[in-house]
Order: sequence, then structure tokens, then C-alpha cells
Amino acid sequence: MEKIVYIDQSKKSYTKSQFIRYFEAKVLYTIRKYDMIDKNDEIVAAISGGKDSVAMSHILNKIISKRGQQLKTLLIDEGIPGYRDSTITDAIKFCKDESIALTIISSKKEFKFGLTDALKKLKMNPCTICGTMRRYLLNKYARKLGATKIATGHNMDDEAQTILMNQYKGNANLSAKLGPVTGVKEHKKFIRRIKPLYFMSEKEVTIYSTLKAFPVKYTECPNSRDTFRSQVRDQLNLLENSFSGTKNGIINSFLDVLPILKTKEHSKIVECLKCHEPSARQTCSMCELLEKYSKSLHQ
Amino acid sequence: MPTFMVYIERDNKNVEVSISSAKPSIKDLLAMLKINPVSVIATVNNEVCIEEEKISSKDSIKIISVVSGG
Repeated sequence: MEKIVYIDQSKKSYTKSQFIRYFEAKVLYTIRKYDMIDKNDEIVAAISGGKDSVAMSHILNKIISKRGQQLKTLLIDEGIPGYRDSTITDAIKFCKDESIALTIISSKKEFKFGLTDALKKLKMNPCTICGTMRRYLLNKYARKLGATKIATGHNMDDEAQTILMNQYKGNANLSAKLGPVTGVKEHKKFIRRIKPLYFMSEKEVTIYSTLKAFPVKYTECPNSRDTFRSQVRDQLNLLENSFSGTKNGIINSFLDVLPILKTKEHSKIVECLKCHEPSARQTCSMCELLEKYSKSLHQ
Repeated sequence: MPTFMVYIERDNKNVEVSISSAKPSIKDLLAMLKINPVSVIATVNNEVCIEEEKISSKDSIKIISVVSGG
């Protein structure tokens, strides 16, 4: 008798083959429900070499391959020695095994500094610096690869944590930028994002990744421990353990109010006066970061 | 009291755990280790299993954190 590998919230049991079918079907359902991939879309998948982006890329590759095309993936090396180098090796192996095109962009080559260099000079939250670099480079280079959409490996846990973090910090309006599909529709330089793993919990992704034996390591970024997000995550997991379905509840109720949040969202996308990349302000976050870093070198 | 050798992937170390229960499960093991079951998956003899899975001291047990990445 096949071993049970997962029991869902409704107490339904899954063997290995049943779980893989369930996981892939749910991801495909999410893609269809939110019209994530149009027949004319060029998808570039953001890959880090971690379980989420690898699992997502594996499923996207199946879809893209049916079109007779090769999936393109884009990896941003933020410059976290000892951590990113290892995941890059995993990404390279995975992409080679699955005949997926991989482009690697280095923050250090692009900006002359990486995350670790920046943290030595700037008193900033590492996730803020990393997020700014990654979003900037993903948008810029996905566009160069001809992308009409960028797929990211954000899962249900990531989204539920961000929704709560925005609430706790009094920034609920920021959540207007969340959801299964994000990004401004009109601006030619801004590439929309899709999150095919939106309804998959981090635990489900880990089970899928382990069952499929993807060449990934289950390690955390060294900068992400003892952060606000990690505390929210731990509290959310405690709640989920006691009250199964908490994360699903957060996501589903958020999706109900998202249309209302979007009506209050009036930000426009302009081009940064310095680098001409899309920005919410006259100087984009990346140029502001570059300025701060440059000043710090002269202090 | 049976003793179990458990590999905790996140910490890259083996931990010895004694459990008083006659037929312990992964759930009992996680409770002894004070690990939230939501935050991990377990493999027994390299097979993914659920928390209700019964274990013996001869089993090769690995606990994998679901929290990874940045």
C-alpha cells in the first residue's frame, strides 16, 4: 500500500502520486483562474535555486514546452557569499537537467556592490536593500529577455505574512500591490508579475519539492533570521497549528477586499529621471540606494 | 525508553531523542523537540511521511524546515 505523504485541511489523504497530481493541478488552476498566461505571453520565471522558484519553474516549463518553446529563467545574484553561491549551483543544475534557459545577473557587476557590501556601509534592513536590488534587476533584465510577465515563486505563506506585516505597520494600503497578479498594466517598461504558487502553502511546496527530488537545499537566507517577517511567520505558524486553515482564511478574505484597496491606489508609474527605469517617484528606489551607498563611501 | 537519532536539516546536526510513548509517532518526536509541525516535513527512511507515522529506533529520520529562502 502506498504511503500517505499529506493530509489536507479537510482531512483528505494523499499518496505520493496523488499529491503530485493535486499540487500541479492546483497551480494550473491558479494560472487559469487569474489568466496568468496568455497565448501571446513571454514568461520569464524569476529563479533563485530555492524550492519555491524551482517548483514553479518545473511546472511552467511543462506549460511552455507544450508550445514548443523553452522556458526562460532569470536569477539575481544579490551578493550574499556562502548562501547565494550555493543556490546558484542548484539553479544551474536544475535548469540543465530540465533544458531551461538561465540568465544570471549579478548586483556586484551591475552596481559595483552587492548586498553584503551595502550592509557594511548602510544601516538599513537587509530585506529592503535586497528587495530593491532584486525588483529593479528583475524588471530591467526580464524586459531585455522579451518578457511580458515575470513569474515569481511567492507562496501562500509569503503573501499571508506580507498582508499581516502591512496591517501591523499601519500600511494596509500597500497591500493593494499584492495579489496573484500584480503590476501596472499600462507602462511599457514595467513588467507584470504572476504568482502561480499563490494558493500553495510553504509546507506543500516543500513536500512537492522533496517528492520530485529537486536539487535544492532547504536553507534560509542568513539575513532573514530575527526579522519582523520571521516573527510574523512564527506566530502565523503557531496559529495554523492550533487552528488549521488560518492562512487560507487570511488569503481568501484579503482577496475579497483587494478590489476595494485597488480603488484607493492612485500611484502612477513614471520613468526615473536618473536611470529611466519605471518608478513610483522621480528618483527610483534603486537610484536612491545608489546615492546613499555612494555617500557612505565618502564618509 | 526508546531512543531516536534524528537529523535536523536546518541545523545540519543529529540529535538524540528519548520518547516514553510505547509506539511513538513523528508528532511525538516533534513535540519532544519543541518543533511546530506546520514548520517542517519529516522523512522516515528517505520517504516523506505524515506526523501520524509511527517510528522505531532503527528508522533513519530527517526533519526538514519548510522555511527556506529569503
